[in-house]
Amino acid sequence: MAALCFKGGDNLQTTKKEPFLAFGSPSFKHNFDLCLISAFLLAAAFFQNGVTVLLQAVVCVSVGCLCEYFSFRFILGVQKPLSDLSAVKTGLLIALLLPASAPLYVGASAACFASLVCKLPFGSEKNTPFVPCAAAVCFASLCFPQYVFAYPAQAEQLSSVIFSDSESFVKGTSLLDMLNRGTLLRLNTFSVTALLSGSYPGATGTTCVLVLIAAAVYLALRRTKTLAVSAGFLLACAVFAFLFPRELSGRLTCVVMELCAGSLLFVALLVANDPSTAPESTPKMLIYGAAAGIICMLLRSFFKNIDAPCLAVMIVNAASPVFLNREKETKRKKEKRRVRA
Amino acid sequence: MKNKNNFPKLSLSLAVFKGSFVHNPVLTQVLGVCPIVAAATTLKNAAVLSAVFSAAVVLCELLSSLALKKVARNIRVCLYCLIASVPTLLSMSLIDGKTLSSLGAFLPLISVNAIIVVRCEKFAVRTSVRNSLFDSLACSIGFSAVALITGFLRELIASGSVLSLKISALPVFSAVALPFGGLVVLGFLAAAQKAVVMNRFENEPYETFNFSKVFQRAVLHDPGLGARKGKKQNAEKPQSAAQKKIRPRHFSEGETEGR
Amino acid sequence: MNAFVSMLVTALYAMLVQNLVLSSAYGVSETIRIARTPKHILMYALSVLFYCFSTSCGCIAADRAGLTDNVSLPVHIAIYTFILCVIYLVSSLFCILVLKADKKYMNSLGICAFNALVLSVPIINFKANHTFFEAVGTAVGAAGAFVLSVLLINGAMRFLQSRDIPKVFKGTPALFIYVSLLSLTLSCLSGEALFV
Repeated sequence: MAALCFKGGDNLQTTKKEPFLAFGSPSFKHNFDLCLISAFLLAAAFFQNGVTVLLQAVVCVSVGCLCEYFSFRFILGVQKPLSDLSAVKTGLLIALLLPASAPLYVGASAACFASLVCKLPFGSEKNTPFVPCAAAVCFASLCFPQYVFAYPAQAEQLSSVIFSDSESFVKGTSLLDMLNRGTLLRLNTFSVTALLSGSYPGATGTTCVLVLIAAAVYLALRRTKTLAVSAGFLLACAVFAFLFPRELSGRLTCVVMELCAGSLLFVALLVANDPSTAPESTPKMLIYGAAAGIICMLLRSFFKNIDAPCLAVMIVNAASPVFLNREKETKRKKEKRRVRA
Repeated sequence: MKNKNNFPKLSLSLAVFKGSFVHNPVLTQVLGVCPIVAAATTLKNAAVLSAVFSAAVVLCELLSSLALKKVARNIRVCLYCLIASVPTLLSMSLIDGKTLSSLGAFLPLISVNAIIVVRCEKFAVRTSVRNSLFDSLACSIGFSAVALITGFLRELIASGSVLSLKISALPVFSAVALPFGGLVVLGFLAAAQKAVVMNRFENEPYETFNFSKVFQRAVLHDPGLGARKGKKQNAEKPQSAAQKKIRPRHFSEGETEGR
Repeated sequence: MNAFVSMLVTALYAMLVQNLVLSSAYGVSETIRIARTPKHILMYALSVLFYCFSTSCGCIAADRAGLTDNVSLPVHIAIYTFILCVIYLVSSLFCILVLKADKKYMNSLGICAFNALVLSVPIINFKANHTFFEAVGTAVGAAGAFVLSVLLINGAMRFLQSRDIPKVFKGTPALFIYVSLLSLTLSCLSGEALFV
């Protein structure tokens, strides 16, 4: 009797409040893994560049989450837009792909672009045709090339730089700059320890090779389905660097330098294997990753002032609807499941 | 109400409203996107483009309706281009050099603008001078509105100023002046326009990329579109044989449009 | 050999680095409309190539013959427009009388002739002071850029039609945003407009 007095009283016992985070969904698992890896990369960057990297990450994540929450909630009517952690993951990846000296508004605008232009019109991250953080970094590199491609050599002056447009910090020479200039190197002239610990100048999360290798092992242990894309990407880059070395010191040195220079390793492991843009079957994933790797190496050879790995991912994303008929694949899988059932 | 030639007679307000907003040539029919995306990077550029385009489209549609109905199709298409180039090239001698260089090749390219050729060929040569005038006004208002809004937003975001007056203290995003910035602005404008039309008007074929279906409505200015959501729809009058003959036969599903 | 190399480099530049359709936005409307049904893409591509090439050659011939000497820019462009009209008339008469082309093909010929991409090629050649081989390269590159853009935009349309896009963005809004991301991708290669 008491239950019938309330409106919808019949449903009181059966309604359960849904959790804020969608723990069970496969996209949540992938995004959670990437957030965990990003946290370790941020910690490594903190030791090199100080508290500025943490501040950048906070700004990118909070702006991305706010934009996504308000736009998805009030324009699309989605009830829990942040439940799959994609906004947090995108914000962290954007912060890690920018140098520590970039002003805060660069990361904030890139995060805003990722939410409003790359995700909102397509409904969700699952429907996006391009990887949001790759598109956002390309946007930032077009709008602010003077900040995106300038890496600090020291951490001391950065606090005055990130709150203003100042470019008054000591710029360092990254591994990629050395490769582009064709500087002659031997294995004993650059420090493997510095390479592994992330002491070379570069974008925040792309320099600590040790953490990136650990990230690769972690993703393999977690049986990430799209790891074949990363494998294809890295293999293609390694083969290209071996066959067409840009360094005269030895092919193996060149392979190591090319893989560790710039954001190649980072993008291969954390960006290119986005499940929403990667193909469904393993052979196609390998071909997709290899194509991205070859395009990346070609771009590095012919163009100097671009973020080649992110751009390569964008190019492959653009070309994949032409060459990969994903609708057929999904239909074929559904048919198989129906036949088995 | 029909005139003696059996063309449907449109009221000015209905034709202008439907032609410029509901069937906006840029946002709905995807015509004339090129100058807006590439050249409407400032409010001044957008105003110049709008003025020149309006002159070209009105002149072209009026002359097509008056004099080109009996001309062979192939020659007619060339004449549209030549007629539209008159106001375009005249304006180039009136505009200052700085604005002309910022507009680049897009000002003279208005003579081959898709809106002019398509509207003249599919509508102006098949209808009365009065309807052509209304349609040209609608096209020019629709194009100008989109161009001015796009130019304003892009100038504000890309340089923080409007008409060279510094307004915003926020950082500037110079890359928005590139064509991709124009396409982003058009995308959001199209979404806003679609939201308003979906809420207030039913029976709009917006779900597909079937431009010919949208175009059919825009060309014939279907009076049934005047029904608003929630209000009783007027019963559609059965079409006469003359009206059926006027309907172009090649606007069927799956076929590409031609000029 | 040098001429051939310069032609090839200019063609690749117009097609990939400074894609005339997606990076510079010449002829975007026609490309989007044609991309809806690309089964006749070969015919459209050959027609665009023909008009770009013949208009380029005609305009270069006019420049070399002195027709455009000491004339103002509007008159210069009026001459180019007239040349394009003459080429279209001759080609359409040829198609009707010799090839006996049907009405559908003749409709398509109009789209291929009178669009911003075709008329932009001679203007670009004039402003960039291209040699004859570079002008031919620009024409070939324009046709290549057109084909590439049609294929990419058709892929975009198929992608968007198969996904659950929000109602407000379904159709042209999502397509504009997708094409803007394609344009962003290609703009990263060149940075800024270099031709005009």
